[in-house]
Amino acid sequence: MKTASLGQITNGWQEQVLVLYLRNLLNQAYGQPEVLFTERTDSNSITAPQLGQSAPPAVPDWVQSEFQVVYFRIGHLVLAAPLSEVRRIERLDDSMRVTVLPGKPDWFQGLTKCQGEIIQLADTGLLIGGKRPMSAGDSCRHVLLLNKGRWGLVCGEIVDMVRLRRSDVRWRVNRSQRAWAAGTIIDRLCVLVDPHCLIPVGRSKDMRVLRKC
Amino acid sequence: MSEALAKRSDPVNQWVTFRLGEETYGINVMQVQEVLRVTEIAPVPGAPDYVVGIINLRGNVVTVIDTRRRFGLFPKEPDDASRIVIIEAEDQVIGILVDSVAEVVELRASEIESAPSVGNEESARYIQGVTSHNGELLILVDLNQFLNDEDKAELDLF
Repeated sequence: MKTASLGQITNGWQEQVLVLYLRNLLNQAYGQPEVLFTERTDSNSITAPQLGQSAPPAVPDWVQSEFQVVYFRIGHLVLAAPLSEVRRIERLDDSMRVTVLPGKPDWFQGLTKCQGEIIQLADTGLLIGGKRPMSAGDSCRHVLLLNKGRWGLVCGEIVDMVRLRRSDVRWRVNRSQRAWAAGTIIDRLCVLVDPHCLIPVGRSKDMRVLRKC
Repeated sequence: MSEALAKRSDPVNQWVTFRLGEETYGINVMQVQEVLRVTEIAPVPGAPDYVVGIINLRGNVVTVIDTRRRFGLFPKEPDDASRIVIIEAEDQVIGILVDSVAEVVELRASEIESAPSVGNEESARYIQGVTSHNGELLILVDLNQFLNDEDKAELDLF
């Protein structure tokens, strides 16, 4: 009885040691799954910034908790741009004459006068299309006049304007490639464009008045 | 007194305007020597494609440049409206072939906006600025930058 009792105790102790040993082995191999699971399922905690600590999401500075976007077409493709970065939308018709400058890249459509101001026109389709440029189409062309740098993005039809929440967009973490694509609007599966990143960096100085000829 | 000060700080320059295709360009009148109708232009073998040829201008040999080609536009055969504008750029006299010559306009320095700095350095070099004139945009060309050192060296050979 006494021996049996000692055996049970011994067996119990050995089992505990064995379980502890195996658990340690598992933890060494796979880390602390319980802790990770807790972090992921805690809906009250701000999980996105925690996950983003190693690779912070490149959310543009124009993103507020809520913001408005304008949806526009480039050929068959629908894209969106933040309204906070667009100061005016003009219809590009025959009355807006475009002056073509020699030696400029294809995406630079030229200059036009708009309400007494000289605007630089960029072909959005060519800028986003890269090697596979998309045509904005000839009919129903519009210009999104940006609030910086006197740039106008030429696009096709204006679809509509919508208010979004920050969480309505899946923001791109790594924008080293296609920096103009800020993220994807989840319900429409539509790319949200960061307009100022669309104009090639280092070659988009603002126009300024010359001091002397 | 204040008017004189304003003139000094915002000088007025005259520009000769010419047409190339749908656009109007301007060059500083001080650099224009004369404007000629297109006469016989002798081709120069081995010359760069933007060189139309040479003309005899009162005993002087002047190289004529096809401004359309220089600006990367489609070439066009000269017609009755075409002109050769004889210009002096950095001590070099050359002729530039243009579709037509329009007028001389006066522009204040403050009316001129710098050209957009997009594209290659080559084109940014010779477009001095843009301005609005008679409801359309006028592209101002800096003739001193019209030819680079390599071009000048090639033209010296003629």
